[in-house]
Formats: sequence, C-alpha cells, structure tokens
Amino acid sequence: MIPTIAVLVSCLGALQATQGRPPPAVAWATPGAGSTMLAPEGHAWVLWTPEPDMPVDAYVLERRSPGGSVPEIRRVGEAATFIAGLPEGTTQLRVRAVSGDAMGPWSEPLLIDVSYPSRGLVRTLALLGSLLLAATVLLIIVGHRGSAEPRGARPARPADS
Amino acid sequence: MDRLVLSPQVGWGLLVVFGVGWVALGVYWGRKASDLDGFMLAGRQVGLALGAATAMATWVTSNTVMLAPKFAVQMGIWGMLAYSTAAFGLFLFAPLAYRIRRLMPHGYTSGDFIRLRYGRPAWVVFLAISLFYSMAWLVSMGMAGGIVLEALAGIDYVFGMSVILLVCVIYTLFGGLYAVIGTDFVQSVIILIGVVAVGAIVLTRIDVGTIYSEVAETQPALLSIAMPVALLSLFNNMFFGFGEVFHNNVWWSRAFAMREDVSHRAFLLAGFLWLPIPVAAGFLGLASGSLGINIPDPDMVGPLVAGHVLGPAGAVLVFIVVFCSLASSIDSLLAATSDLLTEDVYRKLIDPSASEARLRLLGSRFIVGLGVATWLLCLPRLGDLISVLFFAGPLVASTIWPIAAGIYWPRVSRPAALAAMLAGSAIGLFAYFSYGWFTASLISAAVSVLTVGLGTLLRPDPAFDWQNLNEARP
Repeated sequence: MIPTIAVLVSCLGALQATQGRPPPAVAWATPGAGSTMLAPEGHAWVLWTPEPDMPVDAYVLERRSPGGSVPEIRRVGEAATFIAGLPEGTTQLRVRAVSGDAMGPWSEPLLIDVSYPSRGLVRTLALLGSLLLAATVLLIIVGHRGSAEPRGARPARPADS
Repeated sequence: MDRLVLSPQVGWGLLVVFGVGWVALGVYWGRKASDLDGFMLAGRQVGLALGAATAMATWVTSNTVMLAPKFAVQMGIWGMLAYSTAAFGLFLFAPLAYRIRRLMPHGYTSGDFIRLRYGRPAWVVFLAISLFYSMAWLVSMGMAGGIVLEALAGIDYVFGMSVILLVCVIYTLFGGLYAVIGTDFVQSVIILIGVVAVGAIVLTRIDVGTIYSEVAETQPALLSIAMPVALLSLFNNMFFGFGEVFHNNVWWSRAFAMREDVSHRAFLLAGFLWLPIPVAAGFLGLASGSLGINIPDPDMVGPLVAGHVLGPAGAVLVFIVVFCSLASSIDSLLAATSDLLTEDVYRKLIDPSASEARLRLLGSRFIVGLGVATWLLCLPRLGDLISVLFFAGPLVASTIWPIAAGIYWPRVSRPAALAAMLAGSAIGLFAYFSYGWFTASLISAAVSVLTVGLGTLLRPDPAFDWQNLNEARP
C-alpha cells in the first residue's frame, strides 16, 4: 500500500511540475544534431526526441524544398517520419513539440541532401536491363521450342558416388 | 499516439487458432510422407490445382505484403510495378520447369542439376549462394513476422517472430512437402479471398482521384516516369526475381514434385494469380499521404494504412493474410533448404551410402536446425527488410544464365558458368556498395550473361549428353 501511495504522490508531483510549462525543445536523433543527411534515393527516415519527462501531444514538422518559398507544414503524432519523393537538392526540415495549445521552440534545421544517380548512368543501365531482358526471354522461348528431348527413353544412369 | 489496430488479446487469439490449425493440418497431411520421396517431394504426383496454389502461396511472402507498400511509398507508381515484376520469374520458370521435369525425372534438388551439368567447383559455389540466399529470405520473413504482429496487435517482436517460426517448423517437421503443399493450398485460398476483400473495401473508402491529386501536388517525383532510382529498381527487381526463382530449390522441388504434364501450366497460373497482389498492397502505400497517415517506420506502412482504412475488422483480415503469407513461405523454405542440406551436403559430400531412413532423420534435424538458426539471426532485428534481402540479390542474379543456358544449350562452357557466378556475384556486390542496391542484381546478371555468352562462344564444351542428368538414387 505504502509503495503505491508513494508512486501516486510522485506522479502527481511530476504532473504539477510540468503543468504550465511550455512544450520541450526537440533534437534530431537521426542522423544527429548538426549533420547533413544524404538521401541518394530521394527518401529519408528521420527521428527526433523531445526533452525527457515532458508531456508532448504531437509534433509539427516543417519541410522546405529546394527553391521552394512556401514551406509545407504538417502535424504528426509520433517522434519519427518517413518522407519520399524528394526533389534533387537540399531539403530543410524543422520540428517542434506541441502540448495543448502551446508550441515548443523549433529544432535546429536538418538538411537532407538529395543527389540522384547521373542521367547517363541511369540511361545506360536501363538500356542494359532492356537488352538483358530481351536476351533472357529469347533464350527461354527459343530453347523451349527447340528442345524436343525424348523423356526417360533410356533408363536412369547410376548415381555418382 | 497509439497506432495499434487490434488488441494484443485478439492478436494472440488469432495466432493460437491459426498456429494450432496449421500444425493439425500439417500433421494430418504428413501421414503420407512415409518414405524419402514422399517427405521431400510429395510423391512426385502433385496436380495442377495444388501445384499452382503452392507456387503462388510460396511467392506471396510477407515481403509481398510489407515491401510492396514500402516500394510504393519510396518510389511511387514505378516502385509498385517494380515489385510486381517478380511475377515474371514464375512466368519464365514455367518452360524451365517442364524441361527440368523431363530431363531429371529422378532429381531432388537444384544442386543436383548444377553438379551434374557443370561439375563440383560450380556446384560448391552454387550451394554457397543458394544457402546464403535461403537464410537471408528466411531471416527477412522471420523479422517481418515479428514486425507486423507488433505493428498490428502490439505482440512483442520476439514473441510473435518465435511463435510463427515454431509453428512452421513443427508442421514441416512432421509432414515434409506433403504438409507444406497441403497447407499452402488452404493458405493460398485464404490469401486470395483476403486480398480481394481488402482491395474491395479499400476502393470503396478511398477516392483514387484524390490520391493521385495529392501525390501529384506534394510528391510529384513519385509519379515521374524518369525517377532514376525507381526506373532502375524496375529492372533490378526483375532480375532479382529471375535469380530467386531460377536457382532456388523451393521452386525446383516443386517442379520435381509436380506431374510432368502440369508443371509449366501450374507455374504460369501461379504467376497470373500472384501478379495483382503486390499491386493491391502497393496501392495502400500510395494512399498513405492522402489519408494523412504519418509513417513512423517505413517497414510498417502496409499494416498501418490497412488498419487505418479498414478498422479492427479489416485488421483481423490483414493479420490472417499476413500470417498465411508468412507460413506459406517459411514452410517451403524450411523444406527446400533442408532438402539441399540433406541431399547435396550430407549425401553427396559426407556419406553417399546413407540409407533412406538416415536421410529422412537428417532432413528432420536440418529443419529444426534451420528454424533455430533463423530465430537466432532474427533476434537482434538487424537492418531494415530491404537491406537484408537485397544484399543477396546480386548473388542469385549471377545464376540466371548458368541455369537457363545450361538447361537448353548443350555446349555451355563449364568454366564460363563457374566464372559467371563468381564474377557476377563479386561485381554485383561491388555495385551494391558503390551505386546502391537498385543496381546490384541488374549488373550481376549482365556480367553473368556476358561471361556465359563469351565463354561459350570462344571455348564451347563438347555437346552435353542430357541423359547424364537422369541420375538414379544408388
């Protein structure tokens, strides 16, 4: 009984301590503060963490595309998000915590550097893939039509030992 | 912030009901597996319906349900199509299966073919590739099982993953390929009904036009035909799929198990049945943005969107479909990989005079051993799903031409076939680390084609006597 009361008192104390305080500051967890994230495939999985022991209802994420004047803002429930279809260049992300009506401070911006494979490489490999596909299909079609091997006409040969 | 769509009690209930059901059915069907041919190849008399169902159910893996939506989220329309190109592997394997069944009426494994066609050095390299890939596939599915049960019902990753592996090990152990094919048939029916139902419900609740407008406005790159990674992943995935199907004993054991007159039709039918599934699963990924769903973990996008759109009842359906997908692939891999270890490693390398009873016992032990090894590798939850599986891509893509040409061309150069697997794997892995996973299988296959083609053109072997493939058991 006594430990239960002690836990309740402790929780109430923590609640009182956090009431009326602004939402906490948020720091990037992946890839880490102050670093630039490389995204050669045009997508990124980012995670962040609020200060510990502080109440957070949600987060507001701001994304500014390269050359874009108006940032895209959305609210998310979790401390992580996956974004895809990023344009080539550097995309900036900022995040802030929300608690009730109050907003916490913006995080440091996270820079996501998107640099797709060169067009020359892509064209070469796509051409290679097309030729390879044609060759494989041709091999099997021609082979199938030309293989009139009589089945099991002769008895099985002894196994290697 | 609670994302669960099923209570853990419901999740555990489904897990227990279906787990007990698969074990009971597996043991029941496995009664026929009294001799080695029955245990390894279901008596070699599997018909069209069971053959098509087992091929289709095996190819609907947890990766189909979970990676296809992830591909769509990452790469848009092309990503969705890229995953569906894996069906082409089944289409092209259909004529190969017919020829395999005719040339090797007494064959047991894909390793048998490589050993008899190209000799021991190529066989050892092939076994190393095949065993590595099979373990990667098993681990990726074990991980996917743990992840999806956790995402849908909050079942702890380790518990969920462990239960799924345990269930599959038990019924494969008791019933061999009879149990695998029997349960695959039931699972394929459930998967087809489930996917059709989920697709129909989703289409009634989501406006396709809205999804298109939203994606076009906020992520135009996902609709672009020229998105570099997506375009390359289309070819890369296709050749990865060819390599997976052409080389792996999962598919060869089915070719040996089917009646000769149905094998090619069964694989074609399986491909057509499989094709729409990743498209439907990928559609869920594309819809996530317009539904306003945040994706906190890309591996979970499919289950998250399905749960959001369909609610608890639909989530039960998704849970069952995923469980069937997992079981139908894990059991097949356990059986086929155990065959490879029993037949190729033990009987051919260690004890050629081993009795059938001894091989049957060893097959069971290998199934348990594979289950334990998979469980241990799944425990740390290493990497994401794509990185686990796609690392094996260049290795299996290097086997496409040595196998396909070796089945049809009598004068394929043996050294060239060996060199093709080694060079294709090495250069493909180099591409994996240098340019990205989306180039590795394509480059590996290209190197393999050139090596086999040039080697055979410049130094062809004497014409191969196809009768050498018709090997009897001693």
